[in-house]
Amino acid sequence: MKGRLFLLMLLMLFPSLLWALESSEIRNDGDGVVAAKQYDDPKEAVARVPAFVTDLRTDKLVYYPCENCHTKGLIAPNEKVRELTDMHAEIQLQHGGGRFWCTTCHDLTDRNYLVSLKKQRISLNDPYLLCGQCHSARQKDYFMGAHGRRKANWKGEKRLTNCTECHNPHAPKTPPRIPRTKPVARMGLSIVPTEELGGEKVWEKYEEAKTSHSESKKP
Amino acid sequence: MKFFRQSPDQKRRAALKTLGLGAAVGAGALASSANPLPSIEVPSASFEDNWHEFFQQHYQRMSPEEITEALARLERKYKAKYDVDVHVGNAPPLEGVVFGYALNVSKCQGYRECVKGCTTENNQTKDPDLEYIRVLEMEKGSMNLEHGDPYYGEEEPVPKPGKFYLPIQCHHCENPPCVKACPVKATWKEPDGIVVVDYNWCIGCRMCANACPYWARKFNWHEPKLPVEAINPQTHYLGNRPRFRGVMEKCTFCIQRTREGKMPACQEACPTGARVFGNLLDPHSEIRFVLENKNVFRLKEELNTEPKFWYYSD
Amino acid sequence: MDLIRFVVDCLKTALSGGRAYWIWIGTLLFFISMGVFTYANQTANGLMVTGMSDQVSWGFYVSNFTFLVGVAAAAVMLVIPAYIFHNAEAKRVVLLGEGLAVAASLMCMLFVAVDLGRPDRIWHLSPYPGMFNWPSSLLTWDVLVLNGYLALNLLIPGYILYHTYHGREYNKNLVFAAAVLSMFWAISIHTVTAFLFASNSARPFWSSALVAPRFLATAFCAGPAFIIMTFLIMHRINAYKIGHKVIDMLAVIVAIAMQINLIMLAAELFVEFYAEGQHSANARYLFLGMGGKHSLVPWIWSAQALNVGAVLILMVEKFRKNYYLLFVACAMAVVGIWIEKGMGFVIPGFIPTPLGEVFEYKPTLMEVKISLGVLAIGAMVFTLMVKPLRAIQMGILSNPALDQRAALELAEAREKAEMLARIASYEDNPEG
Repeated sequence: MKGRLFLLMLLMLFPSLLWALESSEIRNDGDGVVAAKQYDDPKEAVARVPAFVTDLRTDKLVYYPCENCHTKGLIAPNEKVRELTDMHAEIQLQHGGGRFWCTTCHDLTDRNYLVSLKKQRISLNDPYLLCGQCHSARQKDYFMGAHGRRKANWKGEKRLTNCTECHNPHAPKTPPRIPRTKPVARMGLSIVPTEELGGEKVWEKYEEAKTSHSESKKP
Repeated sequence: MKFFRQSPDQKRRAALKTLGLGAAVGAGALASSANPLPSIEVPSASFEDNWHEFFQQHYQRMSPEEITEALARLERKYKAKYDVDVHVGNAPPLEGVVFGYALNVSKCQGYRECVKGCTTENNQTKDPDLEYIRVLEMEKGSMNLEHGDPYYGEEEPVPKPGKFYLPIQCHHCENPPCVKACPVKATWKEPDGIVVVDYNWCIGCRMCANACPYWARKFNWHEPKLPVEAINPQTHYLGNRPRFRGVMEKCTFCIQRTREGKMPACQEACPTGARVFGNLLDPHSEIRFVLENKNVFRLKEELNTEPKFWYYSD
Repeated sequence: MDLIRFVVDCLKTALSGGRAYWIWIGTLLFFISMGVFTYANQTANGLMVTGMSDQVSWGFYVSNFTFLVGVAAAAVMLVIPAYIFHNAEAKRVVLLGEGLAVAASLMCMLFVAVDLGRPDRIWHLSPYPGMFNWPSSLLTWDVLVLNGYLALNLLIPGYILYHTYHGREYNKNLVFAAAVLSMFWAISIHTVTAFLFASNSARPFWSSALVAPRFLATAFCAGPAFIIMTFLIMHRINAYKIGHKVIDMLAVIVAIAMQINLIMLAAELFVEFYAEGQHSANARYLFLGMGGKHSLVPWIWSAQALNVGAVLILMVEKFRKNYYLLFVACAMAVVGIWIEKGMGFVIPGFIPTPLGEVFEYKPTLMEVKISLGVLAIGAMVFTLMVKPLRAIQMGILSNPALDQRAALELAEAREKAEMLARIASYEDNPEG
């Protein structure tokens, strides 16, 4: 128990260092320097970027307000890493390579809020402030328009999709899905699939040549 | 108050019109005498409308009044054909706006949602759908389009391992070879950079399709099959108004939407956020950020077509 | 008044003939009506009835157009010796050659017209009242040069025949000037047609500087070969007496042009296949097949076999002088070039598409029917033109109000001049 707590504290102290080990995105940032900037106030992240709005998220969340259960005395705060069985069993935490627990992002004392690594409260409506602590390059792209999607218009009020509209924060990797129907030739004509589409990759050819070469060497 | 003298062009057109009207009245009388029974079919466009449509001038040569007339005529025609109130708009290009598009190839997952969004918006012929966007499934490690497969199946989930996806549509070139090739100037580049087609002027010779290096132009080989429930009634004369048999069509960056400040349908449909659209002349626009901060490339840049469609990856 | 009488008399001659003549005309009419009905179907349903697609947006029509432009241009191979060098034998048949050019350019225009998706809007393709994207669109250039060539080839023979009909000498200087003009014009129609393809930098197979010279070479091969075949047939059925010298001269032209064409083909193949890149994909599809698809491969190789066979026959003087063999060689050259420059040039330009898709094309029966109709129209026009042409040249048809004695004298003088010319030609070439 003590060891775990110690680890958690260490995690809080050197979060960027630890997470950089796993996330290739962070590791590949620009000149190779790990740069997940921790602002004193999470709102600082949006201080110098073009103004934008996002859709409210709290009215779409099923269990919101969380305080209904969590802080009204029904359930005592429990930081212990464990398997959830009674509630939230559907959440499979596949984020952060096993180094996260609920309270890494959710405020332990007020569950209506998220929490930054520096323990400042972040609204559930502004998850981009939270995600950007580690994914800072993505966050910058998101603010500037190269990541995420601008909704409805290209001029006027800038309305962005929130991180959580595309990514499940507990399992952010998007699973593969079935695409829409494939194209058809015009009426009256049909496509016959070509067999030899797609060439070998250079390294495959090289591998092949090597194996055939070594085989021919064999007596 | 200003006075305008009729240009010889206008005079000639006026003369053509009177001539046409006379003939129309004559032919109309003939037709009504030949067929006294009232028709119970869906009314087709009136003879007079057809006649005026036949003699309709090039979009850029029409006076504002003539354009208004032409739009009303088209609306009547669509009403007669589909029994739907289609609004044919004519929004002019916005000042200080040149559209650009950027697509993040590392984000694109090959869902073909953009293709679907496009066909829902743009009143193309359905079943089989005419599609403006072609998504190529490419081998990783190669940009050889010949190894790209546009017919990857609906059975297997995407993205497949070892593949990346490259959607291609009209690149709205700054130096469009299709515009050069058209013998009747039925296609041209608007001041906001959109390459448009006047479907009422195109003669269907397909010179532009041969000239396009991006295979962006699609031809109406038959009378478009457009089910009434699939019609999008918000249209633009140079954009998604229902087309005719024997004319060329292509992506217009959803001119009917973008000229009103909205996003193109493919951008809205894309669930991955791979598509960035905006005003190239606005230094604070998203597209400008992408062009200035990301490593971008354009397809077949060696042909000097100067596409306003970029690809980038992060 | 004179002109009306001339036209009426010509029409009368054109519409009179024996049984065989009417059977021929009837056959042509059958094909024409078949073409017209099929075309009506095509206009009603759209170009969907053809085998064309967005992938291969030009097909059989444009292929035939490309080939026939060459045939039309080849008339210049008679115009040059006749009007510039005043070769007597060439002069006798030059009008036939020009008639062929008229028919061919007419067919070219019809092939473009049937290829249009909106033929009702063809008036847009005019400087006025339409809109003409000249000079940037190559199709407008083609419209101009084809119409100009058609006019030139109607006016020169018309002018000459009109004067012959009235028993007058025509203005030699005027005809010389027009002949020089039509000489350059003939080159231009084929160059422009080549540029129509070569201007598409999106299609690497077409976008080659060698396209225009190769078009000219094939034109001066297939065109004269076609003229030789026509002449031999007309000579055979006693429709028109053709001098040996003209045919021999044309045979040499065919042989040389075919050799040049084959050299250029070899040069093209070298560039395409020595350092084969993405731009060679079309050539690979054409000659070797690609992605398991190779419907054009047997065609292009048989075309090359025909071309080589023709050139082998034509290169040997003994064979060339044998008119049966000559006919066979010319037929081989015509068919070979028809394949090579039609389907073998237009279609592979589209396969693979700019996005690398291999999608094949096969003409439908309706396309073939319409094309046959267009060819029948051309044959009909040629037949109807040759009839009065022959009658006037032979002195059978002339202005009835003409002073008969003067006319007779003129005819005799002409006959004598011709005989002298023929004698002179025998002296040049004692075997012929």
